[in-house]
Amino acid sequence: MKKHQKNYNFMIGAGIAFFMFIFLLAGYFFTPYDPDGMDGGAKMAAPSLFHLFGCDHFGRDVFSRVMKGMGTTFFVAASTVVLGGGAGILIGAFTGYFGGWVDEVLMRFNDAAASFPHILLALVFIAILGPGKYNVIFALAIVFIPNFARITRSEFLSQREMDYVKSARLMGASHLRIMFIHIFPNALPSVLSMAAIGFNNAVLAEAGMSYLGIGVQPPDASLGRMLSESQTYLLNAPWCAIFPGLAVILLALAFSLLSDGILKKGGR
Amino acid sequence: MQNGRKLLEVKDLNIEFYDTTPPERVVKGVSFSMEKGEILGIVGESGSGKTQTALSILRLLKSNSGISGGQILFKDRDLGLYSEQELEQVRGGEIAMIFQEPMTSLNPVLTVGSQIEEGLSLHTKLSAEERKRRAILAMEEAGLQRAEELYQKYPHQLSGGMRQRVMIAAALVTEPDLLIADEPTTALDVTIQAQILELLKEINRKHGTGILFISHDLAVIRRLCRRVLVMNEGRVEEAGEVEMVFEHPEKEYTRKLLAAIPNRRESLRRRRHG
Amino acid sequence: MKYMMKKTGTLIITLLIVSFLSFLAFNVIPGDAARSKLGTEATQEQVEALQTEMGLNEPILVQYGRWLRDFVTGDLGESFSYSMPVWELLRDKIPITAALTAISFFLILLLSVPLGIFTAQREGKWPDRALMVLDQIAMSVPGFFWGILITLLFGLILKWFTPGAYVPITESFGGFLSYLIAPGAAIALPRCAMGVKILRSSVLAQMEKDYVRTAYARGNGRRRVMYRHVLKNALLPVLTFWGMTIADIVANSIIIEQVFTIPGMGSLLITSISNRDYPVALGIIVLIAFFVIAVNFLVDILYGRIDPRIRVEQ
Repeated sequence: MKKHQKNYNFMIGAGIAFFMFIFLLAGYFFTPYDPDGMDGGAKMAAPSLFHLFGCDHFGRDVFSRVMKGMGTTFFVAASTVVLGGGAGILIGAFTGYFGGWVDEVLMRFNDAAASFPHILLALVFIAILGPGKYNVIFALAIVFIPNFARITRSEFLSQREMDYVKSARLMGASHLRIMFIHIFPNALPSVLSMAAIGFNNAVLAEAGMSYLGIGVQPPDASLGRMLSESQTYLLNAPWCAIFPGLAVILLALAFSLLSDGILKKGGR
Repeated sequence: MQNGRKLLEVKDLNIEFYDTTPPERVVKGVSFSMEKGEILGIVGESGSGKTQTALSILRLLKSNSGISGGQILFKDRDLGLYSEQELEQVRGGEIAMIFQEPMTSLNPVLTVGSQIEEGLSLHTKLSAEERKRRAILAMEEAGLQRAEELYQKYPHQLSGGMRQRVMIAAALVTEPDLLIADEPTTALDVTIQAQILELLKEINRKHGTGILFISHDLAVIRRLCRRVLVMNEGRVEEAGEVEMVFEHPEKEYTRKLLAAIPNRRESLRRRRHG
Repeated sequence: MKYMMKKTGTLIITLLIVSFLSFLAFNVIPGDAARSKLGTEATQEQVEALQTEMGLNEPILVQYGRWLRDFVTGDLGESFSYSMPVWELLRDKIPITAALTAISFFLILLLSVPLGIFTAQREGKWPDRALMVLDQIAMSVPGFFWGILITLLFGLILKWFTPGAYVPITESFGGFLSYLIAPGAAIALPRCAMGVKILRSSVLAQMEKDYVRTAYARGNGRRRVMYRHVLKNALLPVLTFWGMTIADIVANSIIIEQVFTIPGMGSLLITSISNRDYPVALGIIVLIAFFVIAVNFLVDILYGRIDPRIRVEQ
């Protein structure tokens, strides 16, 4: 007779994520103003009914720019998680399931990489590849592989010894079938939670790199660059900083809550 | 029985778990008493409420449970009226307790010596040297060899039996009047178990320490105690002299419990011969 | 001592791997270092001459060996864009970033330990719940946005400090340190929030352990149980987090230095990345990497010192 506690983390996280997703999805098709359109008369206009989030120093509508910027951020973060997560899961699944010296070597490598701050490793790749949206995705994806590999590996390692795996093997299921039909669903809560954390990290890292001017480049809209541009006019037009910042925070918060919530749902 | 000879008196004790609605009552109107220097056994299966009863005496129940009725008198003082601070003086002072899992009941990052001494630092104003001297005496009394050397060691360097002896030494160091032992031998193997039981007996003989011994194992209870309380589903099923309960159980439940002992005959035989 | 030896072995191997990979990355992928150095105007002959001079035609391992030898003797090569030794560029920046890191780390310890204990002691009660909600939000605010918020509130509105008015250490040591407090706090806040959450759950996990019940049974009060028995056990897993925190602070200082216009290693790294000044970027990244690895090594050693279960197995 356990008291059933509501999974607030999951509910609130999913709620914010859904709201933000609608918001940025709308931004792909429609924005109230042209995000790059400059209105000389509305330079640094304070938030009003016409410009909900105000205008920046060129008279561009912050609301429209935040919508577009979130689209970019979401695209970068989602691609990163799909690419880095996919590769990490594959590596982790194979090394965890088969073990052996390849596993040993890869895991040593992983440990070294995992002890490094994400941003720093991503900067190494950016330093080599140069800035830009796709380079940011590539850099972050590579940086995320070790984390996904580690989580998936430990799940596969523990599931591998379970009776259901042995019986599936006896019934003649192939290794690939066992790995992805039998074991993977059991590893899903950990992997999904990791994906949510990865998304959170990607949002923060992309914003950080774009803020530094070495992430997403114009003409792509970017929350990070909006933040760095806003700094010059911080006192006169604080809304130029507050709203893009809020968008980053809400995206990051949603996925960090989701990550906790998924773990709780999975009973870990 | 004269007043003043009683060591412990538990009257109509009720304990509830709060994390369900309505609260689940796990101990229902348990009453018993102990004389000074007596070894009383409480026997029952897991979930019978015996451990909750033992923990409640020193009010050590987890925060999801609590005493919802009854009285606990220790040397005619009502422990229920004690404040938390007053109770801290009783804990580890006049009443000491040892637990089932010697592996985890000791703090892994503190030395054996400092944990044995702790009772003295909390309840006496003895000097550090005197504390150490007494700790080593207690260790020797608990059957720990090379006490000086062990004093410096950490729990993980000791075997399970040695750890339980450390627990006993830590409990005895303040010369308590009552020792509550919650399944102290369950996690140990049979030979060590026998040694620990002998040790407890000897302590009882030498210092007149009252022992409340809790176990699921009737055979163990029989080797140690004169009187026993059989608990089932939060109630006292039966109470009396161990031999009486053993040879002529009144209740169906007690009979079942006796039948469940696989080596009953074996232990009976050993008892007659040894 | 076996533990020490093993850890030292791992340390050296990790240092070699990391430096080799960084060297490889910066020397193979970006193309021809000789051409980058001479610029597009140079003739093919000039480039080839310089290639031979720089030893670029030799096997990569030989080049790496030479670079490593130079590196450990303090010769980090020469900057493309400044035409001066990398080490001279870096020398003045290191103390700035180091001071920022130290201040930030100190703030994290100062805030997260008491708060972590405070919330754990009140688990489920309203101060705990309120703090955990704030904590979750603070964690999701990136350091550089904290920087912007702090600049806006304390710099521009309350005027407690002048944004952008960095004071060099040579001018005034006190002024230098006090200017670093705001950026230090910006880095510290999200990480501190994480530290509170981790310490809280670590303390709560320890509170469930049997030895805590033993401690209570021996007559310890709540405070003594916390500070003498639980805390040391609870801090062990948090130690690893603190080690990673130092690395994280260094990484974040790269961004925060931009927010507060502090001329530290981070600013130099960003400039060198934008200018494709590979020797400088490589030098900074390998230095930071070595620092991070060294910190992890120290944490492992410290762990062994504090946890008797590891110490005795030596």
